[in-house]
Amino acid sequence: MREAKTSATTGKAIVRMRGLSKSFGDNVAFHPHDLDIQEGEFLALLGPSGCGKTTLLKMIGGFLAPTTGTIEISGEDVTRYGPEKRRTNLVFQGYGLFPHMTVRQNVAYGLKLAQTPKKQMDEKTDRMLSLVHLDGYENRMPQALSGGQAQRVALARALVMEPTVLLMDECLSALDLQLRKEMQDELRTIHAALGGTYVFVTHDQNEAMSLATRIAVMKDGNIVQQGSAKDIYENPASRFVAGFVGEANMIKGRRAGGQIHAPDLQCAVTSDGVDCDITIVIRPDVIEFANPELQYDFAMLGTVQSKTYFGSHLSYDVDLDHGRTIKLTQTLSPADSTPEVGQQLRIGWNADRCKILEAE
Amino acid sequence: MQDQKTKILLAPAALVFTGLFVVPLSYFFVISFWRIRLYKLVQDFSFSNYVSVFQEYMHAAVFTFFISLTIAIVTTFLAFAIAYLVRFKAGRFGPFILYIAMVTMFGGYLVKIYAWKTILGTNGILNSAMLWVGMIDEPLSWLLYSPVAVVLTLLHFLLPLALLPLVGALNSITDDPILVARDLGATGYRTLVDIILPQCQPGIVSAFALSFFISAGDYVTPRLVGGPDTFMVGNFIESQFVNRLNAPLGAALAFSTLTICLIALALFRILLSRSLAPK
Amino acid sequence: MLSPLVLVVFFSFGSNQNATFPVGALTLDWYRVLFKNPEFWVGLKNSLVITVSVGVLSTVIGTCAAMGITKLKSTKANTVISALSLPIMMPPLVLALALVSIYSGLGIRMGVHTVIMSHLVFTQPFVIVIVNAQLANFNFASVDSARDLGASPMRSFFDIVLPNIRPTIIGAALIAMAISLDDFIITFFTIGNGMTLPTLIWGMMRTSLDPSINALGTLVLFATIGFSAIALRITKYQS
Ligand SMILES: Nc1ncnc2c1ncn2[C@@H]1O[C@H](COP(=O)(O)OP(=O)(O)O)[C@@H](O)[C@H]1O
Ligand SMILES: [Mg+2]
Repeated sequence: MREAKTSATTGKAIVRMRGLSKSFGDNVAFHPHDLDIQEGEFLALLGPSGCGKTTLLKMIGGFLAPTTGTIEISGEDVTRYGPEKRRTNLVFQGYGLFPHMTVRQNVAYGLKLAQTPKKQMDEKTDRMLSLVHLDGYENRMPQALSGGQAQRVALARALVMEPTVLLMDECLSALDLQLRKEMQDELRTIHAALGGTYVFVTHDQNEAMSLATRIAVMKDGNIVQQGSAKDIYENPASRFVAGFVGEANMIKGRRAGGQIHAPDLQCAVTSDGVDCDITIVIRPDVIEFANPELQYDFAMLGTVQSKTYFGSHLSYDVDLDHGRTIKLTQTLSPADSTPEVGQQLRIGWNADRCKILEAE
Repeated sequence: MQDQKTKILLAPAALVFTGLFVVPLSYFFVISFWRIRLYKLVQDFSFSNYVSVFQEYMHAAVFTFFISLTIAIVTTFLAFAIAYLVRFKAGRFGPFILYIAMVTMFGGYLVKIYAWKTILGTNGILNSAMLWVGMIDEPLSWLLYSPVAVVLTLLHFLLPLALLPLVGALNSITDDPILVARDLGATGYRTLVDIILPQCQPGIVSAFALSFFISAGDYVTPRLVGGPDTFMVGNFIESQFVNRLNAPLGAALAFSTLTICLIALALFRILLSRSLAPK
Repeated sequence: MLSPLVLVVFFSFGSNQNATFPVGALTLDWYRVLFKNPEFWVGLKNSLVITVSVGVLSTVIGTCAAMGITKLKSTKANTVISALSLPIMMPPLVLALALVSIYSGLGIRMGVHTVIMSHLVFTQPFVIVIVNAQLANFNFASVDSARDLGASPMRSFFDIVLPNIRPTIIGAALIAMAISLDDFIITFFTIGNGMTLPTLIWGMMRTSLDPSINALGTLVLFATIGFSAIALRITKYQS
């Protein structure tokens, strides 16, 4: 067994996982990890499909028994508890609405199981339904709801239980872009209004960035980096993270004697550190069309190969003189001149805005 | 034009259905109001057949009703249990059970009855086995030629048939709502009652209706394994036709039984949906 | 579910006359007795004619109907399927007597042909349900593409639809044949003076303890179960 990776942070952890892992036969879906979830945070588990996000979420929710390790919720060891005994609630990817119950019966079902007094149950249900803007839909059957409405019912049904941790599994991914953006805003509003600890699984980096107070990037059953959206965007820990979270130009090279040498670069740059293979990660928004009056750490010549208009910004592919293509974006302001396709020009960026990764 | 084509495609099946089901049954229904005079059918409109059904065959109808109800309930219950195991518990074994059920479904109606005859007889396997083990001192003669034999035989025959709609119903239930119910604190029992059963209602009704109607209309099983006391309505209907050549009375008997069964089925449906309705 | 059936097969190969244990020595005597019985051959011939005719007719009619049903709206389609399936729910005795009444009322002579007609009404729903289930998964865009490329409706059916549902159709035909071959009640009433294998079994069951009944039962059982098993294999449980 590999040694558990420790990524536990200090503070008031409401969920505490130690050496947690899950294997299906020989296939390790989630490698041993220590992970804490802080009270009140909105944690996004971000990673490509199949990386083990759902597996981790289901272990927290009690739907999957871990292969090794323990889970504590609010200080209680719940490792052997099923979902019915945990104060967590999961919003499923497909919502899992009860097709034979009305919206209201769906939302109230958990309270009914908990034998909540009728009056209190009705009050809570009403409040929750209006919070997710479903007043007036109480007596609809799930089949008669749109995707967005069904999503809200599923959310309300979990929220009404006032879970210690609310778990959500790609629960917005079935919605179209417009609706997804609206629901993201709403989720943020609800989190701000009700408080509570949310864990959100997604493969969409924009969604993770817009919602989460902390992002855990996952790959092949590992949590490869954690931090705020800004942290991860600006300081990716690996080529994978750099490529998965936001767009990045990645240039391979070698550092030797405090100098960076890369076949793709037309210039030599100084860099401190031991001698090793490196990758330079440059975000497209960091690169500029060179202003002749300014000095750049990195500067090179290229030809505009394509130009795409995105409203708020333009995106360019620039072929460097010996073949490699660099992506860059230019925020539009009326004063800017916009180069045309085929135009020869100089591009540049500064060392403090790019990230140098030592070989993994 | 599209409509036209659809109609042409459906026409042969509709013709078979009308000509060999709707028309014969309607005619049969009309006959039930006719009378027999001097071994000839006489067109008439009288309720005398129904009156004599009521007077002479009430006991048979009541007996048939209860034995069929028993068979239908037991069959539906067992079939649901099997279908539930296949869907949720049996794992790799599930498809095998289903396969056996489906393969034996359409085969050997008479052979199955015959097999039970040899199993339940005084010298049959069951008695021999129990004698050998020492559970009994002499063969149980009531095993064969009794209502028990009828129930067992029909149960065996109907089980695969009842299994199919239930398996279909259970397979169309997705996993997510079941997991959600657990997540909201439901025990296995509550999940079954609140989530699974309500969604299986059409399947349960089909399984029940199928077993109920086929049992209520059967005359071969009671004749062969039911013994002299287990006379069901089917036997009387058949004998009105074959022995007494009184088709009208047989028809009246058939329709009375059908009506009672339909009412019972409707009641069953209402009861079921009442008891499973979410509160 | 299987064991009572296995038993009959067992006894058919045993020398014990009374179909009790011990089974006795392994023997094919009962099959020999059966094959010497001229009634067996008459019954076999009739059963074959009926089974094959019902198989072909109900498959053609049922497949056409299933094709038609896919063109209907789903609520209407469900209604049509439920209606056409009513004969399955009807107790066979009632259906048989209704059929006999109308045949004799219309003065139709009964025989193998009336049995074939009668069987159609309760085998076609099975074909319709099975084929319809398969067609529901079928992507009709490919038919539209074929039409777009210049195929006639007939042509596109034979070139596109049929190859895709052929196993299902064969499976449905086999199921229809199994049901037809096994039917006793409706056959018994609508065949007039004729006989088929099931009516022969019935005769043997009522008259004597003729052990060749085990042999006959085994044959019918193997035929029906064989049909079903092949049908399931080629349709891969799709219904
Ligand atoms: N029940 C299961 N049995 C076997 N393997 C599974 C099971 N569930 C998930 N896996 C495997 O575990 C890995 C992670 O799956 P999952 O957590 O669903 O990924 P994600 O949610 O990130 O897409 C995948 O390789 C998947 O095939
Ligand atoms: Mg997933």
